[in-house]
Amino acid sequence: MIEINCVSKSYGQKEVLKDVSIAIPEGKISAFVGSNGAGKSTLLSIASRLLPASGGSVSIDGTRVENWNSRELAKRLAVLRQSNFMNIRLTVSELVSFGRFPYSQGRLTGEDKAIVEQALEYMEITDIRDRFLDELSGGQRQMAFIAMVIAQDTHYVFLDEPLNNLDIKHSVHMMRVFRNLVDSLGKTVVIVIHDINFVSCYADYIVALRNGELIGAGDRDGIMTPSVLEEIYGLKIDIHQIAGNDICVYYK
Amino acid sequence: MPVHRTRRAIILVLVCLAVTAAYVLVGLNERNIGYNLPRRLHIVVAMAIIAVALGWSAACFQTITENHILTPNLIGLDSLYLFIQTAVVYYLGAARLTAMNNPKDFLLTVAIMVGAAALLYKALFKGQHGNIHFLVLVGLVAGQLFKALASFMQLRIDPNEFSVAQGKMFASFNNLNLQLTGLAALCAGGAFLISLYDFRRLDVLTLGRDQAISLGVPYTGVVRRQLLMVAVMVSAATVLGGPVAFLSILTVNAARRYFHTYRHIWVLIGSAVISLVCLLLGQIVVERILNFTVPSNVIINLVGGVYLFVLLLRQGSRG
Amino acid sequence: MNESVDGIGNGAARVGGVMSRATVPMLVSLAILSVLSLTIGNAGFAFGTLWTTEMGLTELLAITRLPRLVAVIVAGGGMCVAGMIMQTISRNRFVSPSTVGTVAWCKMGILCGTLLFVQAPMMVRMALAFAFSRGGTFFFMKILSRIPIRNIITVPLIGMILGAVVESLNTYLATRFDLVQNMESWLQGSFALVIRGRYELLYIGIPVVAVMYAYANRFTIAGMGRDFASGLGLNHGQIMAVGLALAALMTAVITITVGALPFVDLVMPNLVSAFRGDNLRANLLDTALLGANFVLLCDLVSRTAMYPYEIPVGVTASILGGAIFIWLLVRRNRYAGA
Repeated sequence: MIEINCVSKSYGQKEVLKDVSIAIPEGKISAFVGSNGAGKSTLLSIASRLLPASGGSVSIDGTRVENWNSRELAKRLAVLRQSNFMNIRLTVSELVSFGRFPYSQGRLTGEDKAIVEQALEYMEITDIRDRFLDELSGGQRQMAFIAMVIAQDTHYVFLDEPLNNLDIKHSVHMMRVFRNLVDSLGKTVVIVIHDINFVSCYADYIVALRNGELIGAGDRDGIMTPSVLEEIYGLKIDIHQIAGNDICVYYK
Repeated sequence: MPVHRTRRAIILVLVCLAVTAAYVLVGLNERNIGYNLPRRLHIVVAMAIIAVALGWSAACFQTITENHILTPNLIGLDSLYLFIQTAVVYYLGAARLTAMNNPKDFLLTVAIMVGAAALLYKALFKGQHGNIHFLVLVGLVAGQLFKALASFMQLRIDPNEFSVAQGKMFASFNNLNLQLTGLAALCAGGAFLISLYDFRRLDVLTLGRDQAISLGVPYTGVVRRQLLMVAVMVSAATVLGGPVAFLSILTVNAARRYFHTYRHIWVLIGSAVISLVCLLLGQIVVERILNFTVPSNVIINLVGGVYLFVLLLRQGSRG
Repeated sequence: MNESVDGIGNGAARVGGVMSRATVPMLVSLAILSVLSLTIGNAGFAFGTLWTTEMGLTELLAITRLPRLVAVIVAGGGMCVAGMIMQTISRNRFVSPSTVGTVAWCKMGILCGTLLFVQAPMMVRMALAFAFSRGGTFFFMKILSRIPIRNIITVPLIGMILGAVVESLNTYLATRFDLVQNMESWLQGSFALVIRGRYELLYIGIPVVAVMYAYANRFTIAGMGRDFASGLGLNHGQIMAVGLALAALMTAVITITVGALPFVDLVMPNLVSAFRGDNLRANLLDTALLGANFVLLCDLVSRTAMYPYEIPVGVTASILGGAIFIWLLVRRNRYAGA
């Protein structure tokens, strides 16, 4: 269970998060939504211990985040920020092997190798395992990073805009993987995401932010209403039932 | 694409042995063996210490700063060294500098340099959660400041004394002292061992700060420890052999290319051995071809810098 | 390239007038500092005696004090304008003559001039210094255009490495011909040796500034990138070439007459654009004035701080300029956020 209590964050005079409190539900996909600059990524970074909060606290499984042993926490919570280009020559399988670092501290056991293998298969990237990351397309590279997170085998998985720069096919593949992690492996997935229709089709729980303030958190059905969406995005959004999904229409 | 790293490492070590043999043995005869052999062996040992200290510290530093064309020397440590040397001549006279070959002065110089670096890091970590780029920029500026102060003092030094200071300012292996070499080995060796403890974590750090934290690396602790050990190694190596700013950028990158890997253990082996080869070749050129007319770091910086630009341009056209 | 690559300042550009609110105060302070500069010195000075028939003082003014003042103002203003031009056309706040090695190349030119022609006339040295500066700066820009810029430190770092390579070549030559201390002394920026007959080369700087001013808008557009400039029907390559050549010429003129003035050309333009944005035409005058004020202040400090010794102005400028630069960085670091 991850609880965020009265968290705020400011840079100099600029307040990017104001007094946000939420509890992230277990065994669900939670999506952080909001416009640019709403504070979604900041909240995700604070909740996943990448960024210290200016005020308030985050507790994971009942222990405050700063009291966790970093190695133990890495077996419990994995986070992936938007993957930026790295200037190191690394093959896909080397990258995925890094996911086992919290367990083996770099000396892979037979079990580690098997888990890396499974992660590669899970993401369907065994064929590019020996390719260097800088030779791959953006989508393939993102798959490799997700495979690393899967190899890390944590209960909590935090992802910052995992669909960024992905084409439709890769995006859908990615979201199905997350759904699967939750449904068959019982993990808790938290994502920051821009595409509201992917949220509608895949997320269970939605946390909505605007200008650093929490304006709503609840089950998908409670948030996916025209009035709440208008409050989040400052735009009139119609919701239509198409093939059993709520689809937002806001293009015209 | 299998890269036979062990085979490559053996080839590299053999080349290094050949160059060492060439340096130590060529020109040795019955008359000068008593003088030249111990002197040359001493130089080789000092160079090996410098090669390991600089090669490893640059590899760590580049990983931490996520920048492959940087060395700790460039963030002001070299200029600080020049500044200290010049200040000693300026205030105490050249005689004092020549006498600086005692262990106390050696340790004091190293301590000042490490202290300055620690101060810089401290200022950095007190602020936000450690913006490494900011640290580097401030270091670059501080380096320029020390350089300006040093050259101001150089102007006011008597030309005769100046030539003594100059001898210290350029890397030179011609007046080594056994005691200092031992001391440098002790300082750099201790820091090296402490730093080596993190080598697998450093591998993870190549993925960047966020990913390293996600994978359970205690980021701030590792970075602090590494930066401090880097400062100790660089300071000890600089005081022993003088400033050779570019050598380690060059050798670390060459090692990465040669072994096709990011792994620190290979980069360490590669850069240490390549550094030793470069230092020896530089010394051979200076001793045998140029008859000591030019300090060896000028040669190394020149050749190293040119290689670096070739490297940068090649990378640029690839990506 | 994202914002963090090159943004120290974040002020909004104001299109339009040449003058700003700061222009008049800067003119006033320049006037005050000038008077101070004329009156401070070894030989006593009293205004009352200026209008008497005593020849000594008028001569003192004409031979040393006035040339020195003119040299300071032209060198300070010129160096900053050169830095501003280079920052604008390269779209990078860390590019300036002293950071990208222009000054080091210039030294090499002077050194070659000295070595090749024993009694080289000033113009020959000047021509060599200019040729080397221009060539070196072009080389740097060429490298810059081919390297993917990954973060804020890449550019100053490459500049520093290039500068250091050239410097080590300079050191090699200087050591070889026993010129180290000699070279250091005439290249460490100092106005102490400026007297009538030894500084007039600096006047070349004035028409250079005029040409820069005429081209200002084109430089601003060129700074927005090749595609943008071409879209507006400008020849990007040509404008870049003109800009770099002008900046190199300015650097050569100043370095050869008064020596290197480190940091000034980097810091002052950054200071101006931090508060006023990036419209070159609107900022050029302010930059020149700020530079002149700053160097004049440094010169005064140099002359008085360790009286009767004179600290080379290059050292004073490094210390004050370095401090301001670190302050700018801290300020930016604080506001830039994550």
